[in-house]
Amino acid sequence: MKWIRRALPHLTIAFAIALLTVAILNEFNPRMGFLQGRPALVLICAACLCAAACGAVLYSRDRREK
Amino acid sequence: MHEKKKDKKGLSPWLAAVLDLLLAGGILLVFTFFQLVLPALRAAPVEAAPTPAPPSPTPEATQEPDTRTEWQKKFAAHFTDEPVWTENSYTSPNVSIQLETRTLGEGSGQTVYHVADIYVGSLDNICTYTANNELKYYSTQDAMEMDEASGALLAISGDFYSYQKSGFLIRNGEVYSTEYAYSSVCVMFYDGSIEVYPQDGYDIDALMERGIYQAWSFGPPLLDEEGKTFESYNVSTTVGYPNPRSAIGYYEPGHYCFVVADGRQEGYSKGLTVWELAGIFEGLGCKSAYNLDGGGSALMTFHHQRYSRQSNGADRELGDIILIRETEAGA
Repeated sequence: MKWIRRALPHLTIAFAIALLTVAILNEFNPRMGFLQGRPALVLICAACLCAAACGAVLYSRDRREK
Repeated sequence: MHEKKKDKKGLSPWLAAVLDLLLAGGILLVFTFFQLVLPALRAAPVEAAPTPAPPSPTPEATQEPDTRTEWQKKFAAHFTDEPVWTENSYTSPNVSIQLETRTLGEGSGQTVYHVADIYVGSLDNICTYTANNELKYYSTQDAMEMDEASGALLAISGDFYSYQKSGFLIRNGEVYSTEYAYSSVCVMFYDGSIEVYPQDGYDIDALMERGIYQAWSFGPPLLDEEGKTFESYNVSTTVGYPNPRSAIGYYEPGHYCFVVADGRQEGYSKGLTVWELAGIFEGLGCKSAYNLDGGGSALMTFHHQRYSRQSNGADRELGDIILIRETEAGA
């Protein structure tokens, strides 16, 4: 469990960077449909899951510290 | 003490940042594989596409010889008995092309654009050609190779259908996609008329019932129902900037125009905004007009030569072209 907690922030950062890159590419060339289709949906969902899990871990740690 | 702290914290922040970037790169690679590479490998050839629309559902379209005669009669003043080439024109019993190069603005802000006024004797004289003569996702080909292979007298870049996974896309009656995408469309029917529709202004099934010869999906539509420019255009900021442009205009069945603007070439031509492009079509008196794929794709060829100056050193391959050609009857 401990390694998951340590890896989560890094995964979140990595997914965020990847998602931002795709969003910027999509802005420059919307016809390529970078944000359409299953791979984009999977990427968005993975980024959201990581962010949510990261938030939950942070929240629980914060409560414990208090 | 310090070492203990470092051990507890694990990786140094810089190393962690580098690893995060590498991880992001890895994710992007996986994403690229599933988004672009795998679909291209799996892409089915033309025969796997949905059944093409019946070629002529309207009574007028079923009588092609009559239609041809009608257009030839109607535009007889523009045609010649024998094919005649000049530097900026081509006329024959079935085709009339008049090319003109104009400038908009002055000095460093000027834009050079090319207008082709086109009359055709039959619908066969205006068609599209897709890269490698196939309807396939991610298929591209050198523009001049496409020009040669299609036998084009005049050609412009199309809507780069092959980089679009969905949308309303039909080429010469063959269906590439009828999956709705939030995009405007330009439809050419078998009677030679062209209609353009905004993102949410069309019903694909209803249009398919009318029988469609070509459907381009890029946009935006440039003129309103009265042939005037719109007050605003639904385009992203980057698309709205002055850019090389490629667009098709429509007067009446058998009479069309192509406009290609050179751009991104300092000192020669800046490019057009969508508003400027629409203004040109309004000035030409077109009934409707539609913006196609511009930027590095924008190109006009005439007599198997580049007529416009492609902005990226003429090395971008295209997905499709719209062309004017001779048919056996008119050659």
